[in-house]
Amino acid sequence: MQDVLTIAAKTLFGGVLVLVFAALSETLKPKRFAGILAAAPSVAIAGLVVGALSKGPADQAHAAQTMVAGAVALAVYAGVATFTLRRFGPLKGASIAFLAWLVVAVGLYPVVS
Amino acid sequence: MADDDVEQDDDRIRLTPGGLKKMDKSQALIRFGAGAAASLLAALVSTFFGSRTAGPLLALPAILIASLTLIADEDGLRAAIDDSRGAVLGGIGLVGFAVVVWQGFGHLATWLVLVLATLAWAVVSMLLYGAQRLVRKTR
Repeated sequence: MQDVLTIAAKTLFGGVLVLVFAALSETLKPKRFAGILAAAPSVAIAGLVVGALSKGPADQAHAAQTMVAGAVALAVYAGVATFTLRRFGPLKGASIAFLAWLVVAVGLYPVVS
Repeated sequence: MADDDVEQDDDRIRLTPGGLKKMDKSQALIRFGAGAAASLLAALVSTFFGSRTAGPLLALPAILIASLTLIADEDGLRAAIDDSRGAVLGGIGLVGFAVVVWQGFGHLATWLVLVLATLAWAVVSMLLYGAQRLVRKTR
């Protein structure tokens, strides 16, 4: 039961935080600056806060340690997306760039863990 | 001069509260859904395989995929590409966020670590934006 509540809390909190950062992003110009908020730590804050409350902060330090791989991969994803968006269009381009995230995140995981 | 060029040239940071009206209910729902789905995946992996394995998923670009598609539909491809360029800076800032949490959790109060980590993300991203702006101006 504890696990179900934790998962539900992370899901709800993560969705709300993403919405808050997205709303803030809509109020900022230029787009290049507002784009910083597209990589805001919304899902991370939700996961780490609820995780720290349920499993303790020391356990969540391990999540943050390997999150470094995901964060580097996210920066690479966004860089690749600037090319794939132009080449393949919005949905296809944004999705194809996901392969870059996957490759970098999986490749860096053993290095940072 | 095309709108694209105006966006490129005018890179002063501005607050435009009216921009919020552009996000209708369906867009808000898509963004909430993307955030909730990414959080759910990270939570499930954390529960079944441990926090260490779930770590990279805390920086999953699911939200970015949704937001780039929405921006391209609403403001055009150029705006989506600009948004993506900004996300590169935010992503580098996110590395700073993760490092602060990794080093701080278990040593300082949880709330303080999260505040410091979020500040690290914001400062790193904005410094990079400022540096990029400076380089573009001197070119």
